[in-house]
Amino acid sequence: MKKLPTNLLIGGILVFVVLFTAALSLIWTPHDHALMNISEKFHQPNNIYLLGTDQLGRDILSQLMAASRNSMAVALIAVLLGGSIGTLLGLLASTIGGWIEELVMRFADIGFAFPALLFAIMLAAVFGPSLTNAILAIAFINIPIFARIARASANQIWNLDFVTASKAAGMGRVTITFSHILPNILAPIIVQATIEFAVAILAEAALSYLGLGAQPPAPSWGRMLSEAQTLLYLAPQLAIYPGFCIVIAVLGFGLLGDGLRDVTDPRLSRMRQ
Amino acid sequence: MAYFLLRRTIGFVLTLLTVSIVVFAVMNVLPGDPALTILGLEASDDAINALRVKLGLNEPVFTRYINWVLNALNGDFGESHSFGVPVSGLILERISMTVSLAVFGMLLTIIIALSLGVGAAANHRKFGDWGVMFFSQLGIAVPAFWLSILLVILFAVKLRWLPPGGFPGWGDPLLAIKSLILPTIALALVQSAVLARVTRSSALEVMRLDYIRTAKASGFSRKRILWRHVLPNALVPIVTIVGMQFAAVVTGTIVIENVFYLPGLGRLIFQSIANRDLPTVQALVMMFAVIVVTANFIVDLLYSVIDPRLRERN
Amino acid sequence: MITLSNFSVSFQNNLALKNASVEIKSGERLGIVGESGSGKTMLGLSLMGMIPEGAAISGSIKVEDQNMTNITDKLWQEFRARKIAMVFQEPMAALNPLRRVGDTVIEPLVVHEGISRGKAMAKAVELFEEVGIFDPISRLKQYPHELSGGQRQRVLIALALACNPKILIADEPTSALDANIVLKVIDLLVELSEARNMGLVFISHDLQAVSRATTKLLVMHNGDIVERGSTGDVLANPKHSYTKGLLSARPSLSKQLKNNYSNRFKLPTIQNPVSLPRNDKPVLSEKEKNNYLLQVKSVMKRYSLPRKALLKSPAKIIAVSDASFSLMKGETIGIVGESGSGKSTLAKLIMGFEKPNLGSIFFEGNDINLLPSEKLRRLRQRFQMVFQDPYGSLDPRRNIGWSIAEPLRAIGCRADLEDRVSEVLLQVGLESGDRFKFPHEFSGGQRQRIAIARSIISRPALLVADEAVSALDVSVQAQILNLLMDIQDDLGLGILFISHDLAVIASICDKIIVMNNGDIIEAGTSKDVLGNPQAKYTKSLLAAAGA
Repeated sequence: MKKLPTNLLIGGILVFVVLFTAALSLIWTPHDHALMNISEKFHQPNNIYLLGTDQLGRDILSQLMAASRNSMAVALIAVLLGGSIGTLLGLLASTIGGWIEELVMRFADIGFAFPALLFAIMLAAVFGPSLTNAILAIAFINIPIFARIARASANQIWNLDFVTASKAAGMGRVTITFSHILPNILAPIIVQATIEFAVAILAEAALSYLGLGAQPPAPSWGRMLSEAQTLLYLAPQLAIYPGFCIVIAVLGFGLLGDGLRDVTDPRLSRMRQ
Repeated sequence: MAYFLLRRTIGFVLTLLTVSIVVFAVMNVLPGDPALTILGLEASDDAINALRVKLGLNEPVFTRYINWVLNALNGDFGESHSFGVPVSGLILERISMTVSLAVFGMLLTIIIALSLGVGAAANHRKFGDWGVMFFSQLGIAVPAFWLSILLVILFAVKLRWLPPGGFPGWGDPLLAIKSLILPTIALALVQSAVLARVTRSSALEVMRLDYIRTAKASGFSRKRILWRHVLPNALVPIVTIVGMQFAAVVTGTIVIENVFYLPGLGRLIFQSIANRDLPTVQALVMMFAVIVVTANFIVDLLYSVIDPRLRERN
Repeated sequence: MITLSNFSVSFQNNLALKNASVEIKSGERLGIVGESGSGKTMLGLSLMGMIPEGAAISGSIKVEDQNMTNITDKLWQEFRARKIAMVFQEPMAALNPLRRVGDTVIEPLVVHEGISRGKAMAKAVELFEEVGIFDPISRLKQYPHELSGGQRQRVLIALALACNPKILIADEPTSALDANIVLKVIDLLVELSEARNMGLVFISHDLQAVSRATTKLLVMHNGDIVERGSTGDVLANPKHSYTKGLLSARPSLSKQLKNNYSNRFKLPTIQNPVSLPRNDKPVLSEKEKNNYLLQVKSVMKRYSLPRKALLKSPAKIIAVSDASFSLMKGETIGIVGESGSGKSTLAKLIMGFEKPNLGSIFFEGNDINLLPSEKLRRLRQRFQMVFQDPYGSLDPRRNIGWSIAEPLRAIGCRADLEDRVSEVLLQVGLESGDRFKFPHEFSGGQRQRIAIARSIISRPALLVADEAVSALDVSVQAQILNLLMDIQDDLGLGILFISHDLAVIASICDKIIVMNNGDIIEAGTSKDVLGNPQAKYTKSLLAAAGA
């Protein structure tokens, strides 16, 4: 195995740390993240409260850990949901072709007109803000992204000789789709999914910051930041930690996605020959 | 060429139409009675019915949709529930803020990103390249609102050079500009990270192509090849991303306005959500969506200006 | 004028060029011939100082007595285009697509010689005339995609000549061009060299092009210069075994190997020829040989171009018009033509990938376009195809055993897959254990063998080879052609061989069909078509192939 690109390594480590923290927080955090103790408010980091406490006396580290669950869950569910639907649509469009392909791509274009935030705003105005709405909004905008990539990649593969050879051998279009096209588009799809995880984490943070995501008392990095904003003159450090966590998570997935792309890029692998 | 334009324009109009249907559908065709929501559970049935008639809620859905579209084309977006004034008035008051922010932000983004991206490609594998790559990775990972808060901590709380938020109006131009500096930088830094990456990779791709080799064989200097041969050809994917960034800019201004308490359309949307002011939200969402779709349409047209090969293809 | 002494170029311990010593004077025409990996391109790039980054260089290079070894790129810029110019292989990709060709050509004039735009344009017109471009003034305003391949190459030559270089290096300048343009471009280069007393370095794998274009010759193999001398000498009396092998592996019009059962291409002995298990007796009896395998009757295929204007209906292009021919069992028919002749479309129609607008195609008596789809699927086992690009014809995500067995799986045959795959691998000269490997582990020639293995596993009666050897080096090409002939003898296959290379077709086909612009211009036995061509187009093809 050739030397792994640095992207992949660093990204992989960061992602592992975040996922591990999220999983760990299900069974253990240093303190109960929701426990309020006004007498202990605004502590600097010390032995008991490793990162200090916030304005209600809650341990910051525990909150950050619990909030990571939230971000990971939203990102994973939304991207997997939107990604699977989108990929299937794109694959369908490519296999059937003709006006169905046009139609599917037109719908995808509509999806591009709505940034996640806009869609979440619509849902929030009608149904009220909630975590489910945030997930739905992010999933929704992932559908056209994956549909486009799946279709473009699939179309390229259809033109390759080994697919024509399959047709010559008598294989039907559906069989070819699942035995040749799908395995060959998995690489760009997985790379995109990793990058979309990063985007989803950012989107969820923005939504929570604006109050459209996880509602209190569920912890989230975004909301911690909006609460901290009112206390900037008193305790600026409260605004630094949650943002830092967001950056680590997003950076991790982003680097991982880039690293995966470097590894699977067919041009690069041909250059190695 | 004319045929190409016609096809594209028809597509544009169709997209706008579909978007309007989606917006209307989501906001209106739902369980729940808007009149009830507005007046509250204690209101009398008569009052609720009166409001329903006033808002036209008893008409069939299709009619309501057509009315909405026709009125909107005339500039009438209905009346805001919470403010009690026409929505269009609210929009007009605030639109200059949002547009200024978006335009300044986009300009700054393009300047930063193109210089960094081309510079990185020119110094491929050397220090400058790694630096830009690092900056862009970081820039993409940093949420705009967090960056804003950090900038406020540094420049407003600690250094006290710039205000932490709010907008004093255009009366005092110096103060007005000062209030816009941090928001614009926050918006631009994050966007330019994305654009710089795309510029760099697009430039690198073009640099591998055969006609760059021809230019080299013609004895031109590296600088000339970079700016006159690589960059123009790298523009197509860059233009795509700039188009896509309009969606991000729209989202960005909404967030930034809320972080810095700027009186623009972004803040209006939030106030309206808090007040369950559906007509306003509906109008604003539609507006933003129109901006995004139009930007994409213009980008599409720009392609054929930049690349003569595309003028003939459908 | 340029002297290379003991010049070596290596990349991470891989020697691309070994101790090359060459002298090139103005007015001389030097050919450098070799296959891929021979180092010929690297030699050309070295003369321009355009060796890719990351290379370790040793030895010295002098231009006009100035030592150029290890100087900076900036200093090299003074020499490029002005003293030494280069023309490359793919004309389409070599021109900036966003610029009019006139602007591209005047750029060196404006930048290097400080001439004003107006005067430079006038000079460009002169250059265009010199390289034989019709109506130069209108052409100047056009974009690269509006010109044909031959025109683009002429533009590139004009560009190279703009600052009156003393030496012109042409790296495979004709490889991407159609046969009848190739001769014209070669002659143009020779003319230019003589008229301007300009040195010409002609790099190519095409021995014929080189013999026409040059007076001195270098033969390269694996980074070494294995032979040198005057062109006539080297080609008539090769001394090095590689040169001898290269000459004998090359197909030519006079070498008709078919019907002489044991005749095959002789391979350069430096290679490791693969030895195959062979039958000694032909498989088909005389009686069987008279059965029709494939009958094409009055087939026409037309395509609609994308719509350009709202009120006009879209233009139509007729790819194949009124094609008819028959192929018997065990016969090899060659279809020869240039790009756009309709031969590839005809192949698609015969394979049933598309339906003709008019006419019918019969395989073993069945009209393939009238069969119910299930029956067609079964019938497909009997006719298979081998494609041009060895890199695209195998699914990179599957091991080759899986890919080879696909035709069997398609009809639901699951028994004995392993055995049949192994059997067929041995037949093409690979090993049974190779079936677990992936395509990227094999070379181009080996992949083509795998593709052939896949095509014969279902024991077909007809093989359609669409440019199956066009992407291969001369020696590998010879091996694959030998393989095809062996398999044909062993299985009694009929072969439909499609190619643009008349020499290859002449070597292995019983009958030849010549196509141009969708029409079958001439058809007959190889002897007749080659010895006594009737159509003007056939004669021009023969001339281009060096008859």
